[in-house]
Amino acid sequence: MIPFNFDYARPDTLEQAVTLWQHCDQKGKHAVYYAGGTQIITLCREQKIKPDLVIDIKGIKECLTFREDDRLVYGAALPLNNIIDKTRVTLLSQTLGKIADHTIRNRLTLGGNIMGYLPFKEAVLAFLVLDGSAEIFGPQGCRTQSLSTLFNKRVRLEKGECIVNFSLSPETIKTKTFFVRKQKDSPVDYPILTACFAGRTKSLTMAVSGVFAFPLRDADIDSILNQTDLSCDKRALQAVDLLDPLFKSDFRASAAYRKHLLRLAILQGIKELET
Amino acid sequence: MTFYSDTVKARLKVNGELREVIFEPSDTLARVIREQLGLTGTKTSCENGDCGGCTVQVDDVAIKSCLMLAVEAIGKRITTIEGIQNHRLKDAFTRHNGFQCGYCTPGMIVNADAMLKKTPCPDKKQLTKHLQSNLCRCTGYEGIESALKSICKPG
Repeated sequence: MIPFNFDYARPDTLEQAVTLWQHCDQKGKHAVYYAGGTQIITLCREQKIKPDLVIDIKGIKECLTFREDDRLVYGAALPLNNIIDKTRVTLLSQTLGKIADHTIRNRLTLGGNIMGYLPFKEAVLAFLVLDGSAEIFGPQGCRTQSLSTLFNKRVRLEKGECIVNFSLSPETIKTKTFFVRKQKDSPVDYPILTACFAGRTKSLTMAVSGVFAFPLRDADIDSILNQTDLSCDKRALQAVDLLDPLFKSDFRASAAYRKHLLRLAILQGIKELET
Repeated sequence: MTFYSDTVKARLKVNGELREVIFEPSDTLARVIREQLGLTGTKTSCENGDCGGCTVQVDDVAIKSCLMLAVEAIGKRITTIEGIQNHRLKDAFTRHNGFQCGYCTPGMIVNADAMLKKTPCPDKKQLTKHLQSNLCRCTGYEGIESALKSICKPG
């Protein structure tokens, strides 16, 4: 149970949602945008957050868009299973299909996973590695921004802004990709490594989660992976050495083990996508 | 736009019946089902979305009711273990000893019923994927799996 009460609003439009947020903010109160609720309810129960107002964005049609035509667009309030069942982007269905368990994925939304409080945010990996972008609505109106500039350890939004959708170029359907995820024990657990690779013409990109305190795609790492004059082993070693200070240790795995797993994943990724 | 403050007085459609309930916007669906509607077949234990004991169907989709606000269920069809009509499924759990203490059984059956509505003949991979959502602290997974396999056979 949640040991306190809050107000609940279900706006029909983005304008209504942002106005609600602004009114709440002007009164010095705390409002949160809410979609699946799996993290917000848990954090409220633990009293780690205490919103005065919950703004449910599931009534806003733009946040529920799913289309794969001239642009691949996925609404922020779509439950993960709705995307997994329909998307033609293999990497997206692979990544989303490993988050939490099947029943949770009926509620957990794309926006909720990426904007959530947990450090893994695995749903963002496919959008990072495939050069995706996000549409954002806020007090200043609507804007579109690439994930590479919007995401730095977490999505960087201005006050009152709400993510409407995430999108990819249609070419990504045909892009060769490679996905690997490792857990300590059960397949239903937080990852100790999730790595996504995309191979385009003379360009290999990687995004990872679980190994650091935040998901990461790094231009310097990508350029190491693309030094084809070096052997696969050397590239993998150079990449993990560069990232060395970032590897985290916890009860799931040591930093050294995570580094080892990432080196193996990079080796596999290069072999899969360069042949 | 819908807005609720303080208390919500609403009619929830549960197991085919419209039931009037009064709750707070921050009340979870699990809490309202158990404490307001008296449908205690829906079990709560972790209240963290891990165990699956509180699984119910909302518009035929399995969800963990500890991670859904009751206010979100207004206008939707809620099915708890008390409203599951799939007697073949329930019989299979009995015949194959698909329970030990029985605490996880309602969640398992509600989840399995939702799976069978969408996928009448799931393969082993699909079965495992769905079963991973529910924990059995007695570790009686063998019986649960064989119960489900027995009714998932075509014909």
